Parts: sequence; C-alpha cells; structure tokens
Amino acid sequence: MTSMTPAGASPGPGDDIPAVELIGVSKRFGSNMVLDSVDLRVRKGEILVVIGPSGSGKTTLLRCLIGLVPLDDGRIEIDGECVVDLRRGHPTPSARTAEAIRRRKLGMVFQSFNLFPHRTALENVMEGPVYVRHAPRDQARADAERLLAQVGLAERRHHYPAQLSGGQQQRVAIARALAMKPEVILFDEVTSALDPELTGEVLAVMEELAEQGQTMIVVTHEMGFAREVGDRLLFMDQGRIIEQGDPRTVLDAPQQDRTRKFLSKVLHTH
Amino acid sequence: MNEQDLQRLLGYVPDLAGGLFYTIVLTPIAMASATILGVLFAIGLNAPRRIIRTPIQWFIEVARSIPELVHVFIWYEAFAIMGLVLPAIAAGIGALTVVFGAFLGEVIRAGVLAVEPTQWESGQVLGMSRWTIWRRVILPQALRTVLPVWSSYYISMYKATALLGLITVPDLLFRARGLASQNFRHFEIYTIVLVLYFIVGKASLAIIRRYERRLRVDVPKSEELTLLRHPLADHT
Amino acid sequence: MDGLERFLDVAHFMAPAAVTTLLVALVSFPGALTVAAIVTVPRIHRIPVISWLADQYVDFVRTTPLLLHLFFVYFALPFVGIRVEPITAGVLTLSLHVGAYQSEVLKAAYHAVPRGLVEAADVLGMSRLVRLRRVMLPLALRVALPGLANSMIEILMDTVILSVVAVVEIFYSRTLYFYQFFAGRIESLILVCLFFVIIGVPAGRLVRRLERRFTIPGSGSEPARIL
Ligand SMILES: Nc1ncnc2c1ncn2[C@@H]1O[C@H](COP(=O)(O)OP(=O)(O)O)[C@@H](O)[C@H]1O
Ligand SMILES: [Mg+2]
Repeated sequence: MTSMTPAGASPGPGDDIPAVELIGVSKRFGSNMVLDSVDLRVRKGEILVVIGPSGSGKTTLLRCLIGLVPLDDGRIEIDGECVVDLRRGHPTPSARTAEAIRRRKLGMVFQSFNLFPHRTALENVMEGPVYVRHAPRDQARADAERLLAQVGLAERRHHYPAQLSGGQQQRVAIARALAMKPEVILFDEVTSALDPELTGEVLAVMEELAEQGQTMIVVTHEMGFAREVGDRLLFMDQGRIIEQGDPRTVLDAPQQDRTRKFLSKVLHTH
Repeated sequence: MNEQDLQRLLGYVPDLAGGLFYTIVLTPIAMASATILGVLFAIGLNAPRRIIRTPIQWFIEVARSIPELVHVFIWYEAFAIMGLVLPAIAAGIGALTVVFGAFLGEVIRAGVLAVEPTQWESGQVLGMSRWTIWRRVILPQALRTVLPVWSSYYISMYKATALLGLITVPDLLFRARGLASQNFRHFEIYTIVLVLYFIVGKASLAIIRRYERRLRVDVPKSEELTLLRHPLADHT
Repeated sequence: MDGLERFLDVAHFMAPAAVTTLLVALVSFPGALTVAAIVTVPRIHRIPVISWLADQYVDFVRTTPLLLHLFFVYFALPFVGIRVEPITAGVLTLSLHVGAYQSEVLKAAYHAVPRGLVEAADVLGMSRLVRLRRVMLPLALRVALPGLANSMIEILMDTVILSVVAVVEIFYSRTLYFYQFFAGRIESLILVCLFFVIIGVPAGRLVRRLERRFTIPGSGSEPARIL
C-alpha cells in the first residue's frame, strides 16, 4: 500500500520521520504484564485504529505514550525526538525534556470527557493556550471560537459542561485538545460513554479531522469508523499486537484465531 | 425616652462606630489569610511524601485542640516574652489565622479529594505544570465545593474577632467595655452591642449565601440553569 | 528556681484549676443538652411563632460572640435584678451558647430518619417502642453522637472564656500565678496548651472515628457537624 500524503500536509524531508515510534515498550502492574514488548510506528497523517478486548492494554498503551503512566522498559520517540529510553545501556532524556516534548506534540481525549466543570466550553478550550502556551487572551479566544464552530458548538460556547449533552461535551473535549495544535491526538474510547444517538456527532467530528490530515490514534469499538476512516487497524490482546493491517482486510479476513474470535463476538453483539 | 437619654445614646455613636469598623474589617482580613494558610496546608496534606504530610497533620491536630483565646495569648504574650513584640492587632490576626487555617486546611483537603481524580490527568495531557493544575483546575473546584462550610467558618471567625478586644484591639466589644466602665449602664450598652453583632452577622451571612449560590456551577439543578449562565453570555 | 522546678511549681499551682475546668465543662454539657432539647422541639414541629423564635435564637447565638454573651450575663443582667456568681454565669452562658449548636445536631438527627421508614415500621406492625428502639434511634444516633461528642470538646475549649470574669479555671490560674510570683508566664502557657492537647487530640480522633464509623456506606448521609 502506497502512503497517502494527507491533504494540507506539505511533503518534505521531515515526512519520513514517524509521528510516533515505540520500540519494545513494556509495562506491568504488579505481576500483571499489561504491555508486552510492543513495537509500533505511526506515520504522520495516519489514522491508526486500535481494537481489542477489555483489559488488553489499549488504554495503558495511550497513557504510556502521553506520560500518564511510566514505562518499565522500551523506547518512545515522538516526531523524531526520544522521550524515554529504558533499554539497557541507552541514555534516557530528563523528565523535564520528555514532558516538554509531549506537551508540544501530543493531545488526548478521554472516554469520560473530563472537561473542567467550573469553566464554560469556551474557557475549557482557551485554558491550554492561555495557561500553558501563554498565548495572548484575545488570540486564544478567537482560536477557541473557531474550534468550537468547527465542532458545531459555536452557540454553546458560554455553557458549562453540566449544561451540555455527553456528545457536546466530548466535542468540546476534542476542541480543547485541538487548541494545543498537537501533532498526534490520542482518542480513548471517546464514544463508549455516550448514548448511541450521540456517538454519530462525535465520530463525524473525528472523521473531519482525519480528512484534514490530523494524525490520530483511535481506540474504539466502532467498527464502522475503523473501516471507513482508519488507515490501519491494529488488534491487541493481552498486551501484545496480535494482528494489524488495512482495516477492511483485518475485519473481513482476519489471519489470527484470536482476532476472529474477538470480531465475531463484537460484531454479533452490535 | 427623654432628651437626656437621647443625648447619651448619641454619645455612644463615635465609639461604637469605631469599634464596629474594626469588627467588620478584621473578619475578612483574618479569614483571607486563614484561607491562604488553609490552602497551603491542603496542598501539603496532599503531598506524596510523608515527611511533608505528617508534620502538617500534627500541627493541625494540635492547633485545633487549643482554644482560640489561648492562641491569641501565645501570639500576644508568649512571643513578646521571647522577644518578638507584635502590635496587638497583628498578634490577633496571626493567632486567628493559625486556628482557622488549621480547620480550613482539613476542610479544603476534603474538597480537593472530592475533585474527580481525572481532572489531574486532563490538566496533564494539556501540558499543565503541577502548580498550574492546582491553581487553575483543582483549587477552584475544591474551594467551590467547600464554600458552604467555609461560610460557617466565616461566621465563626466573625465571632472569634471579639477575643481580640481582650488584647486591646479596639473592636466593638472592647469599646463597649470601655463605655460601660465609664457610665455603668452595662445593660443598655451590651444590649446595643448584641443587636449590632446580630445585624452585622446576619447581613454577612446573607451576602455570603448569595455569592455561594452564584459560584455553585458544577452540578446545576435544572431550574437553576438560567442563573448559571456565564456573565459573558450573549443576551440574544 | 531553675527551669524544671518552676515548671513543677506552676503545674502544682494550676492543678486544682484544671479540675475546675473539667467540672465546668461536665456541668455545662447537660445544661446545653437541656437548652438544645427545649429549642429543638418547636423547630421540628413547626409550631407558629414559637418555632420562629427558636430559629431566631439559634441564629442569634450563631452570629454573636460567646464572650459577649458572658459579659451580658455577668455584667448586664445584674442591672435588671439577675445577679449570679461568675461560675454560674459561665455555666449558664456555655449552656445557652452550645445548646444552640447542639440543636442543629438534634435537628439533623431527627431529619436523618425518613418519614417513609417510620411508616414502613408501622406497616410491619412494630409497636411504638420497638419502632423507636430498632428504627428511629439507631438512625438518629448515628447522626447525633459524633456531633454531640464534638460539642463536648467544644465546651471544654470554651471554658477558658470564663477567665475574663475571674473564674479560677485553668487559664485564669496562670494569671494568678503570675500576680503572686511574677514568674512562670511561659511555663504556665505551655501547661495550658499541654492540658488541651492531651485531652483534645485523642478526643478529636475519637470523634472523627465515630463519624467514619457512623457514616452508612454509600448513603452519602454524613453525621452532623458543628464547628
Ligand atoms: N493503574 C492500574 N493499576 C493496576 N492495574 C491496572 C491499572 N491500569 C490498568 N490496569 C490493568 O491493566 C490491564 C489493561 O488495562 P487497560 O489498559 O485499561 O485495558 P483496555 O483499555 O484495553 O481495556 C487490565 O488488566 C487492568 O486491570
Ligand atoms: Mg480502556
């Protein structure tokens, strides 16, 4: 499969550098091996969809990547810059350096929205630019208003999270992540907490982002989204990548037993 | 009431007004500094390291088990004996700051615990520093949560300021004692002062409760939704 | 007199006053409970005028200083013919003051028993007494006990106020010592602090333990607190 250049991203020398690269990443909680030497490369502009049974380590993978959970072993590179390398004999950057890189390059959207309940939609989106990037307020406000319009919430910008539906809150959360202009956005089951009729509006926003060339790692159970929007589908089980490839191929003709079993379960219950 | 009574009552006004000024002004000042101390305690109590938490826990437990009046004399008298002579008003505010800071430290800590733990992560993935998360995310929510309890402490503080009259801070009660010792009309003077305290206390409470309602945004009940619109909201 | 000797001397001097402090607190507690009971009944049953008065009383106590109440009882009441000993004035003031706070505890305890539950017990055919013993008291006491225990500590700490009308409780005894010997001000202050810390810290822990014990898991209903 030839790599597609995402619309809007200019081809250049930097495009060979993967947006994210994981080498031998491992994580255990007590005796529970949650990530077992995971290797993964995500191209710039790629939409990587991650599926797998509950407890297979999908969330942990994203959390290790963004630094909410420390690794036990392995190396992570973001846009060509190493943020952690725990392999024997390799130097690892300082926590401060790693944090600065992650802060610049990564964003994340959670299953449970996690908006700031004491701030309006607009303030939620402005918070990062103003208090992390120290952007001028006026400019941050203009950007935030544009982003809220993009996710279809221009009218609701002065509402508090508790005054918004789940789907609206999640769209604000996406706008909040976008406001930091991250290279890669991580989505962790962002529609799982939503009523079925509300998932569509969130998925539509994500699809639009994909079309704009935003690099995304999307953990989801929405097989339709995986098939239509994903560039690559990755199936995880027990902390390992079991199978990956073109979404249609993996979904229609899985090579591995475990993938087949999982898909038959998921597709039947849906 | 005859001419003479009226004359006498009017004679109280300058003294009582001066005292009332102190009583009214002391409370927000002492409460503000106690709240700052309480926030620092709460942050310390939340520290990952025990070596920071434990001494603060002990300090709070000890401070709150000692009566306010004793605290006042520690600051006013004991510090002076040890060479640190503070003006009465500074000693008084210092003492009340410590007592109420200890109480508020625990209260605010409970408020911090009530903030969803995921809020920390939200701040982190936006790249906020620990301090920014405290300032912009955790404390604003924790303080809103504890506001009703904080208001009760505000009124307690208001009452506690009367102790400062005992160390010569010229507050309402101090002036009342002065007046009564001149004309021996204790009943009249103390009744007036009681009523003044009651009125100011009730008014403070009413004002606080109003702000309390305005600041409570996290869990709006449906009928309150309209009240909760942000001041920036369009009037369309 | 060297340091330790002075310390012991002050302690010896203050010991009887410490006992007085404890006694005043012990006597004031039932007094406060009595006031609380008298005030709470109309507040619960919403008797016109009287319950309004009771509410005002509680508000009044909550917004006016204890010290002023004591001055009023001791210095002002004699002018209308009510003359009491300092210690009586102290116990009276403490009872009237803390009673108002306890009334809040009792009210919360009463409301902790849902009406529906009382009816449910009725339907089960429980007698009045069984209903009180098995349903109402356990629920109400859960809320009331920690609050009342807390008010006991509160009373003990408030007794130092009585020093301003020259009741020889622990705090005033240090003044007396100083006037007699012109020494020991620091020692006596340390002893006063020790007295309250030794009693107050364990007692405070006990109250918080009661609070935790009595919080019904998952109910979100917490025992009543007074400040
Ligand atoms: N903080 C934690 N402490 C202990 N175990 C954890 C923690 N977070 C996740 N786990 C365990 O790690 C495994 C993988 O969890 P997770 O990454 O959340 O899986 P998924 O997102 O695929 O459902 C699970 O067995 C889970 O119980
Ligand atoms: Mg998960």
